[in-house]
Amino acid sequence: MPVRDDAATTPARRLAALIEPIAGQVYFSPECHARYEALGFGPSSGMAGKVALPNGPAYFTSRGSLLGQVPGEVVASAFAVFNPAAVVPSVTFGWSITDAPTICAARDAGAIGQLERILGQAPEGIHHANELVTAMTEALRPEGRPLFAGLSSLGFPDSPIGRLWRATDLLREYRGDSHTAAWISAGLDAVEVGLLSELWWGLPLKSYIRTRAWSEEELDAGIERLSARGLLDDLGTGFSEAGRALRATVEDRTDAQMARAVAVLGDDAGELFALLAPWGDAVRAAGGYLAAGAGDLARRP
Amino acid sequence: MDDDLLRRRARTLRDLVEPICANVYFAPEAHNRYAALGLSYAPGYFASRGACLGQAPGEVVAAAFGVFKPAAVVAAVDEAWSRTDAPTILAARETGAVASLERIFGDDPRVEQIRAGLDRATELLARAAAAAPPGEGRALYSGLTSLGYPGSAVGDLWRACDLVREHRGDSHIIAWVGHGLDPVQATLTTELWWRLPLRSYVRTRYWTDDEIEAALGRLRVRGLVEGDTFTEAGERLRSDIELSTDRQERPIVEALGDGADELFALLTPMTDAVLDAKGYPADPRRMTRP
Repeated sequence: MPVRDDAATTPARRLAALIEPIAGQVYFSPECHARYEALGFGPSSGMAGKVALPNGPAYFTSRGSLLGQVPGEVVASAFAVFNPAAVVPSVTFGWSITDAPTICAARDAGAIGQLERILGQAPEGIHHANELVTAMTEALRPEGRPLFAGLSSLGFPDSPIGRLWRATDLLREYRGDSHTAAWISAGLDAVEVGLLSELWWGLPLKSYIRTRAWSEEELDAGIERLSARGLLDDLGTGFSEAGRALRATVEDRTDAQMARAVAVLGDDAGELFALLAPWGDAVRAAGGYLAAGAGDLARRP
Repeated sequence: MDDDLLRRRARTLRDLVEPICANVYFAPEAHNRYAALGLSYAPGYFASRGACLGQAPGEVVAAAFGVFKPAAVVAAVDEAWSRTDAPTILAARETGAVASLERIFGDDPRVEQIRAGLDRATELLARAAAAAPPGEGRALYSGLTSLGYPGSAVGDLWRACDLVREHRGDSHIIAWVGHGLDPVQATLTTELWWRLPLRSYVRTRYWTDDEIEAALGRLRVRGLVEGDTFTEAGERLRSDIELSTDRQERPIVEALGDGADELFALLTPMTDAVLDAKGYPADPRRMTRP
């Protein structure tokens, strides 16, 4: 979950921040929540302001269905930062009440439904935006990137909003998969990168990462490992210089993997960003996505 | 454990388990079972190895395998799923692998020594494999953990070897993706790392001559290859990728602890038996760097 776009410092990060509310709204869409409930999942787990938070098993199963009818262990591997002990039973439950094509269709319909409710069926400029984001997705490669690969097997929905939704979700998952390769290859584990990301976003330790289902003991052990490696400051509550540099390297290596997409966009970047920004703002204003991003979840008790 | 010991143990472990678990890809007992399901070589290979992921589309199998040309993987998996399903081919893979290893071990002069070491080798390997965190970016390893153990002495050894192998394979993909290589570039640097002729092994991954030359061009532009050999920067990058891979194996190697040498001694006659029976094409101990 990237920072707000006003804090983005590279074209790849600005792209990620601008597509985030347009693609990530699927996890807060009342239209999705209602469809998952109709399949037998529980309701939204509660509100963050006017944003309806996802139901856990519905979240893991719906996003995991991009991979096909796969076991929870494989979903946990692709999601990477969540405690597998939470992912596996959620997906096992999900497959006991539905299957991948059914929940994947519900996910698409609910995501497109919320975007069309907020933006209309064809906001001005969408055809041009779709040309640009589609061209970017065609430059991307599936190796080592399971969620992007699974999404690319689905093809594009045939409405303008449907194409915008799919293309932005492809770009979002590609960056997410690339980020996973970046932090693991930099020598971090799931808890450690989650903690460093909190500091990267300016959040306190053990705030946002709680949404990833790790126990207090697992988080404290992660903090100890980071301290032992000299990645936290003397108080153990902020970055050391080495810690900030390592977390920056992870982000840089993620950006580097987006280079193909950014290169395709070329001089059209400004035009695309100007089209996407008000759509993302509209989604946030309507409660379709977290107003401030990760911080909204971190503040929840 | 320091990086030096970690590296040596991680690479020895890889070299010894590879022929044992990957014998399944060269086993007539497996190929015959895939043929009985209507599958020729490529659909049999991609679907049998990919089926631990579940009933996944070819694109996801291509993502997990990493180095193969996705169009070839997708076509092969599509064909396989038109004829069989994941549980069926998983069962064929397991029975084929076990039958092949039973034949090889049974025909080997070291059969008594091998049989006497099976349970202990499996115990050590399984303990090590279980020490790796589940999930966390490693698709094939995670898929294999969802299957459990077959329940026979040779079957359990094979699964334990496969878990360790796929964990390292997943880690390796993460390492070269994270270091900014694409699959053709990664495989070309593998050839140079293994001191194989350039453009040889990469062809088995279904890339065309044009794709291979284009990737070589990108490696030259990045200053990693000059002519047909590594530059110093290229060799260093590849070495970093190997070390990043080794470090990802730390939980497994550390869980072996003092049992590492015992395990290596138990696995050696098994690995030698597979190689002597031509059940695996090359001895990894002679190809990789220490």
